[in-house]
Amino acid sequence: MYRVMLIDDEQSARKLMRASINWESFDMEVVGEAENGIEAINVIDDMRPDIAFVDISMPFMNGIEFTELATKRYPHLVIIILTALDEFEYARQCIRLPVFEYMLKPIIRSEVTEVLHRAKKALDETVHPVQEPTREIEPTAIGQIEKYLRENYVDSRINLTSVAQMFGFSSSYLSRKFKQETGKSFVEFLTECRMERAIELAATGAKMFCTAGEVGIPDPNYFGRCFKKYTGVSYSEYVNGRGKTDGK
Amino acid sequence: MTGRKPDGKSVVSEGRNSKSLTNMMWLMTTAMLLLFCVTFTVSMMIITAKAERDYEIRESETVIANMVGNIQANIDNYKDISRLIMLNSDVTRYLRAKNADVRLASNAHDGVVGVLNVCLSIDSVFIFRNDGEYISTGKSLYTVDFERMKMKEWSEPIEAARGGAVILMNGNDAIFKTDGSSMITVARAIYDINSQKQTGILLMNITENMLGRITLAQGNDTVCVVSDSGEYLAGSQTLAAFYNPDYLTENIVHMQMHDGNDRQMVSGRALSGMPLVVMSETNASTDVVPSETMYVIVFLLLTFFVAVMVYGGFITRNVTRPVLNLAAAMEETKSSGWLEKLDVNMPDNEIGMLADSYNSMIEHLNELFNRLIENEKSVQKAEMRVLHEQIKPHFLYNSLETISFLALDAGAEEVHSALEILGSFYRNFLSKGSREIPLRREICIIQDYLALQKLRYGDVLSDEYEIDDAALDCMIPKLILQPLVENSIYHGIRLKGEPGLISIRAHLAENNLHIHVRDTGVGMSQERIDEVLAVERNEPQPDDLKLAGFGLKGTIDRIRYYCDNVDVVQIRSEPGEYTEIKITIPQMQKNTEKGDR
Repeated sequence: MYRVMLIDDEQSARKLMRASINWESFDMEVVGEAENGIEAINVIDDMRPDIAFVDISMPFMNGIEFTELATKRYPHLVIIILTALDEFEYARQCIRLPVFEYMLKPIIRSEVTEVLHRAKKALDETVHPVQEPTREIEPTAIGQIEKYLRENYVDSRINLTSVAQMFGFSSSYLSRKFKQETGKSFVEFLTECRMERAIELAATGAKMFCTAGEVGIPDPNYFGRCFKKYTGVSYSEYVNGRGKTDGK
Repeated sequence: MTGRKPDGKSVVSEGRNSKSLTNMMWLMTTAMLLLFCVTFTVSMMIITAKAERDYEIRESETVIANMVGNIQANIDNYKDISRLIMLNSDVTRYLRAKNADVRLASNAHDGVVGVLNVCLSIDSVFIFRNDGEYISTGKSLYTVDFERMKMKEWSEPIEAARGGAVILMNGNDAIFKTDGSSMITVARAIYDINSQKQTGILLMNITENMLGRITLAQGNDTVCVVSDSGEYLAGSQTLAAFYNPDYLTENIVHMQMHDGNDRQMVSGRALSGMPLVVMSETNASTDVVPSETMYVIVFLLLTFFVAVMVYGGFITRNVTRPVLNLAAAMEETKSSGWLEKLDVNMPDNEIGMLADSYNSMIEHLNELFNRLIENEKSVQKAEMRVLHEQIKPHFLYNSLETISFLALDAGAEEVHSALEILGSFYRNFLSKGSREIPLRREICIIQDYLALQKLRYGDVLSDEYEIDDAALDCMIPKLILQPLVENSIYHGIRLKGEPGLISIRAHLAENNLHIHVRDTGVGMSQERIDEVLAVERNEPQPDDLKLAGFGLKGTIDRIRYYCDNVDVVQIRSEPGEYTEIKITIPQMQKNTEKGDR
């Protein structure tokens, strides 16, 4: 069963995509969504999709930028561009990239199914390289990675795969080993770094979108969700609550 | 050239040009020549007349001076003879005697005759004594007017000379020859040497022959001698008829006389101390002006003539004709309907400059036109962009998707399907990019369009397609079939009130894409077909295109414009049965759809 990820800033578009296509008939399932490239970068390692539908015009990181990153990090990922903008310039940029298909919105089921048929065929034919035994990850390496993350969490584009590639490890092995060594997943650790810094900034009463940019999650919506998940309260509540405590 | 009117017009204007320039030029040349000839002739006449007159005056003066000289010399001669007679001893004795007897008279007569032998022209000599006795020599018969001789009036002029010779006519009108011929008289009063008393009067008569000899010497026809009373004496009698008292002066008097058609100059003068007038007639001879001079003048005239002709020819060849050629070339350029440069060989002079500046003007105009067209194009592009922005397809598509999801969520599958078709239709319909799209996409547009129309009109509509695979990728101008289908629905099938079929067929043959759009509607009358197919001469303006672009006629015009051929659209119809529109689009290049897919 192939895993499908939908990256689109329009919620209705994602929902329509999910609802109107009979995914099971292609032996596929929609495993996740992202509102833009930033969110997608952060969640893609958890979702491990085989196919990504990517809108082009999205805030903070558009589809082209995301595709550039993703094709480097996930060479087997089938990227299907799906855009409402019939702009020649976008099409030209996409031709440069190993995009599987360039589709125009509004989606038409017949077109989508036709593309999915081809995508499935292509995936079926792809031979996944045998997981080569990578060298042992020393506990010191994990320490180095921790150090690296603490120093570089501001870079919004880093994620498990990019760091693994950087240190020359396989991402799944690194993920496992990281959890083993630190007791936290890679993503949890990265988020913790960012949220600690966010809490500090929130204490100064900084605006949320500013804080979001400062900590490497320039999408304030996604940042807000992360913040709430981490602290249990929303960013604005946190800032206000701090004000109250200060008042007392 | 499409057989337009300007041909005739150009001929007219050319005719007018040649009239105003070439003809004017030749007219001027001719006028100049004429004027010159007239001036020449008039001045020639004046010069000739002057020369003639001078010549005549010179001639007549010479002749008259000759004659006067001759006559005076002769008369002086006769005066001497008369003196010899007066001094003759026999004559003196005859006059001195108290009574003149026959012997004395006879001696005197002989003495006189002796003197007279010397000279032939002396007609007679009369010697009167104071007592009235006289002797005379002479062969002719004479009448002597003794009454007159007694009058003081007669003797006074003779006696006043105190012995000197006086020249008179006919013995001072006292002695006449009976044959009527005149005589010139040398008269003297004779005085006694001793007593100094007048003893008598001598009258010596000289015949006209003396004058006749002189005139003959000058050529009798052109000279004459008359007496101071106008009496003819010698020479030309016709000339003598011109005598008038104005000539009674010692200066030469010239007068122009007309004898019939002949003009001549009659000159004359009186002789001093004589009752005679000498007259001469001169005619200008033809060669008054020397022939060499005439040749030179005629040569000059001819030279001038040739020069003017050559000048005229030069102007014609180097100015008028090149100008005409230039005008014709410009006219040709104009009638060709394009702003093209002149491709005519022009001389390297002012005319050539004219052609050059015309060419540079054409170049400039073309530049201006191109700039205008560029401007117009960019304005149109901008307008199209604005239009496209106003439609905001992005917003439309996102909204459609949102509504689609709502429909799907609510279980309204049909609504979802309809929205999907609508989305598909608009996506193709509004798509940007090239003006050409593959037939495949135009068919998609029609299918979507008909699917939506079927939602509205239900089972009234059905459609069928018969498209060759090879034809699917042929490029056609965007949105040419959809308006035809729309026309089929609204002006064909819907008017009939029965279910209708729209069939689209397309195939490639001989590098041409043939498309048939057929409906089983009410059909079209031949008039309507003709009206729709009518070719309007003035090509559709971009604005018109936009306005009429979605109508049948506008679409046909667009197809024709695209193919640059009027015959690419054909309509067949049987009223009440069907309408079939056939489009033939030449396929030059392979399908190269730019941009999107």
